Amino acid sequence: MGSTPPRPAGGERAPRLRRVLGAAAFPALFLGLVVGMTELPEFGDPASPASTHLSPRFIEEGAAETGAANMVTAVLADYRGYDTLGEAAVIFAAGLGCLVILASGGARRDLPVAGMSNRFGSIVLDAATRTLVPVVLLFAVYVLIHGHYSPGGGFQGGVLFGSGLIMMRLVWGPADASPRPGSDVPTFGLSLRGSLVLASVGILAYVGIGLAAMAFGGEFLNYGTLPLGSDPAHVRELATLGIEAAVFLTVGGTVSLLFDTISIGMRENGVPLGSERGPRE
Amino acid sequence: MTEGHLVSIGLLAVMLISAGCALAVKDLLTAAALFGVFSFLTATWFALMGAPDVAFTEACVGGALTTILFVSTAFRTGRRFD
Amino acid sequence: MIASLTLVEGIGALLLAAGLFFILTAVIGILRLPDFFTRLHAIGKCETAGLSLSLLGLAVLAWDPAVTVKLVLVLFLVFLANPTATHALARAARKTDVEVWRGDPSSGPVGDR
Repeated sequence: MGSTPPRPAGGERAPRLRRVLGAAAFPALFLGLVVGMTELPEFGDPASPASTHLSPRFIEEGAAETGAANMVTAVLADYRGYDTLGEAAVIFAAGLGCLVILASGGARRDLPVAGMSNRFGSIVLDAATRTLVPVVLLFAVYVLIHGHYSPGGGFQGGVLFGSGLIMMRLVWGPADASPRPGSDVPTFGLSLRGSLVLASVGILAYVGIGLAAMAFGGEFLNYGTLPLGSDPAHVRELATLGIEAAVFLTVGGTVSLLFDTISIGMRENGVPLGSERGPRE
Repeated sequence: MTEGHLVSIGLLAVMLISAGCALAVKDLLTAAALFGVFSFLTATWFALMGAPDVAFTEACVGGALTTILFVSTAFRTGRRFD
Repeated sequence: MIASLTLVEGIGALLLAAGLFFILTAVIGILRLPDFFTRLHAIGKCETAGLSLSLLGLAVLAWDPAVTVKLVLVLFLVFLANPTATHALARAARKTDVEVWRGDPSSGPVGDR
């Protein structure tokens, strides 16, 4: 995205040199990938290094080395920390892309808040949401913390957390909309800006933990050197939890950011979820 | 041909049907709902294959989140696809 | 010991069967009833009852504190979320002027609109 030239005014096309370079870059990249692919071991080859060295190591010593009984978490957040950083960055970039394309003014507070801020909810929805949302958010944190021992972790917990935020948004309207005078609609919840901050803090915390490991003499994202205790497995367990929490924040923030950017468009276009027509209370 | 095979075949058949219907219908809201059905069936199938982590993710992301995003996008762009 | 076990299993099977009956009723209701609201009426109540009874049956069949407690928690969640979802659907339909069936009940079920 960074190298995409801005569209010239007046319908002119990009300069010829740039077009030729762009057209030449893709075949070159394709050829490079094909050449690189021939060097890889055959797919599914049981004699490949990944099958003969890595998998047995993960299976046999994963729990002892990382302190995570759930092998998926051990691989995802520790052995394959780079991959997970990439995934979190991709999700964050997707949220940023949505923000830029759909809500290019950023968190605009002067929007005509029709529709969604006229809360769709009735007293039934209100009461049910008050009961359900805390449970959902708590369960999200449980999934995050319990990722070491059972299926779960940062991604799943983050999505659950974001779903809880979206549920509040659906029933009570956006958190940054001013409530109608005299209404008791809770204004708890994250604004669009808050979601963005949450996601950014998450991705920065991830990189920060990696850099902290470097600062204490290890490699990037090699947590063993962090001064959190004497037992290396325990240190790695704590650092893995930190990584999972960072992923949790990134995913949760991005999820609610995605929903917010889309619903800002809905408020702008005046296509509310709860239409103004029909009987009102 | 064990019981597990039969369950898998039935599940995959319903997955195929719901995916085909999601492509065929003209109403985007219906398509989003059918895609949600597809996602939950996929999650069930992952769980049957012994991958609860993936099943959990698929149920959260595919079943709940993308359905919500699809529905809100359908509201934004217009419901029908002709 | 064996007698009590079979009693537990029998109760669980009965609950499951009752749950399946209600779910079947909900499915028949969706297929046969004429408009959105009547269909919602069928699925809202019958599915909540069917799902709750099925979960209760599974909880009895499992007969293991860890599993049973989790299933009962899921049951509470279903009991809260399902009627709320039905209410939200009905409310959304009412607000967006979904057509209400005003046909003659004695003329039998009508086809899909």
